[in-house]
Amino acid sequence: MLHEVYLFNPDGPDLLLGRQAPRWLPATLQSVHMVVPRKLCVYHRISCKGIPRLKLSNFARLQAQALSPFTQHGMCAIKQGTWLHLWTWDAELERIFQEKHPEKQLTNTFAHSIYSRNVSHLAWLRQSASGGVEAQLRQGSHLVHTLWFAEVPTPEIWENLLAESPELATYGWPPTLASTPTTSEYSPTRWASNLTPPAHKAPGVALAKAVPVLLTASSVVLAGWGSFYFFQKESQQAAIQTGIESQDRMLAELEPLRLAKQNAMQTLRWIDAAQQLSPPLTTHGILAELAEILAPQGLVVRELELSPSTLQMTVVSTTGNAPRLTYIISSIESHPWFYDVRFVDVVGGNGFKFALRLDAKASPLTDKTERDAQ
Amino acid sequence: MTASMRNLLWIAALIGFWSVALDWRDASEKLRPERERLEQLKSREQSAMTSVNWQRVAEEALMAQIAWLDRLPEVTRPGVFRAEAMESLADLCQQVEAPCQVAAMGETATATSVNTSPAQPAPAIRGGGGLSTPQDAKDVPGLVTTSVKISTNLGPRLMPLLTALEEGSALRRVDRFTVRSGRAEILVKVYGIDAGVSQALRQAAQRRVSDTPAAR
Repeated sequence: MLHEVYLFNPDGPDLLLGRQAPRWLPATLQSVHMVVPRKLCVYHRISCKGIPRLKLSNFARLQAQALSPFTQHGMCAIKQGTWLHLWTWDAELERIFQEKHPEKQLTNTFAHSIYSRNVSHLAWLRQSASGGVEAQLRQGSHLVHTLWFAEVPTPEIWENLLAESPELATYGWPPTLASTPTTSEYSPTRWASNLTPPAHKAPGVALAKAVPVLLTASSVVLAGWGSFYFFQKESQQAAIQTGIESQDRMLAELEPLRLAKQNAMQTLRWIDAAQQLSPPLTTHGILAELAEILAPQGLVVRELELSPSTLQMTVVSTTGNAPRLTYIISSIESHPWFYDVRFVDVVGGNGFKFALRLDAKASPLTDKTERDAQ
Repeated sequence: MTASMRNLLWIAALIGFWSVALDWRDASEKLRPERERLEQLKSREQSAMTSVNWQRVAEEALMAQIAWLDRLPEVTRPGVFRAEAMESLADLCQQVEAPCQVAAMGETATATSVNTSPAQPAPAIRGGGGLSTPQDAKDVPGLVTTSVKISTNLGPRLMPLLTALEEGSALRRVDRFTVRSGRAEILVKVYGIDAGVSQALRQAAQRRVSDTPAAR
């Protein structure tokens, strides 16, 4: 979570212990954690053996309600083994803290005791700003008990304390102090979490503050996105309009060319129609090609009827031998001008009548070489 | 106005602007292909018009048209066109020294045009019959056709006669060629063009040729 951690100082500005939020983030999106000095806390050690973990929080709140001397209190509870450690303080402290940080939401509170270093047995902790000394009794990594003194106790004061409060000896506190203990500073990091964070930590509170920010960000993004497409659309329309105007200008410039093309196409249509008047294959050309085919086989044409698309002819052999009809047909069909060659009948005993069609799309042969190739 | 109400109104405004922006985006997406098509069309039309020298093509086409008009004899009196055609074919037979018998076949047909302007020909066929083919004259207004039958002997003068008929200076077409009993019959279609139409076409062609920048 994006937050800053401050050690509450009732007499001056709070001490920043840590920051987990970038500096540029708006203050309304940040939260603060309050660390209450040990001297402002009332400590209780309660057995929580047999309490389900899910019920620990409510159990701790009930115990604090019962044990706290304050009318309105804040609290920090942690579980260590089968023991619940409870620190309570006056809720007025939280109000003062919140006034010092008006733009940020107070989302969690901790006792300064859980910012101690990991020591094996007995720790004496001093916080120079707030004053006083805290003694922490540990067993392994678990906190057993904690005491607060306005000053570092002498061995005599210690003995008197244990005499007045014999239950302290049962917790494991040493009965005597060999000398005045040496103190160390608190750690900037904590080793436990508060089981009973303030009720107003609900995410909805932070969300309610975040909504205007999110809406503002969305508006900015949407405005940029919409503007991009608006100007793109306008650009496209302007380009189309320019293109149409440019096309009109171009058409005006090309008008003489268009007229020339129109005239040329009309004249070409006239020429094409005139060309249709004369067929591509001439009669004398067809006769010459037939002579080229028939003469080598000893054949002459006796009768012939030639129309634009069909040809019928009767051939006779000059050698007296019967002509090879299939050879005649294949040799005529091998020519590119003729197709669909059929033998029709025998005429007058020695005449052989053939019918064939002329290829309307045939083009005149250019030279003898092409004819031979066909 | 509570903060929630203000936020709701804000969200509603955002949604409204969002829908408007979506419309802009859709419009932009629809306009993009139109713009590209316009640019392509512009470049294509420009290249199509400028890649071919249409002035030059038009000039050459007009020259070709005049050459074709030279092959179509001008007909001033349609009534005597058939007689002139028969005479010209008889003369041709004499030129190639072929013994011919020339006879008329069918009637004379003329393709007329409502609008004689060579730019907008709208031909219609008047007359017809015989072997004339009105379809031939569909796009050649003022075309006059008649058919003439030539009978001649088979012999060495036949091929020169056919060559002269089909490749002579005047446009003619052999519609049917028949060889039977030692004689050849040639059905020739003879073409001419109405003198008025021919003159109009020639003048228009010459005017256009002289108007082209190349001629100037």
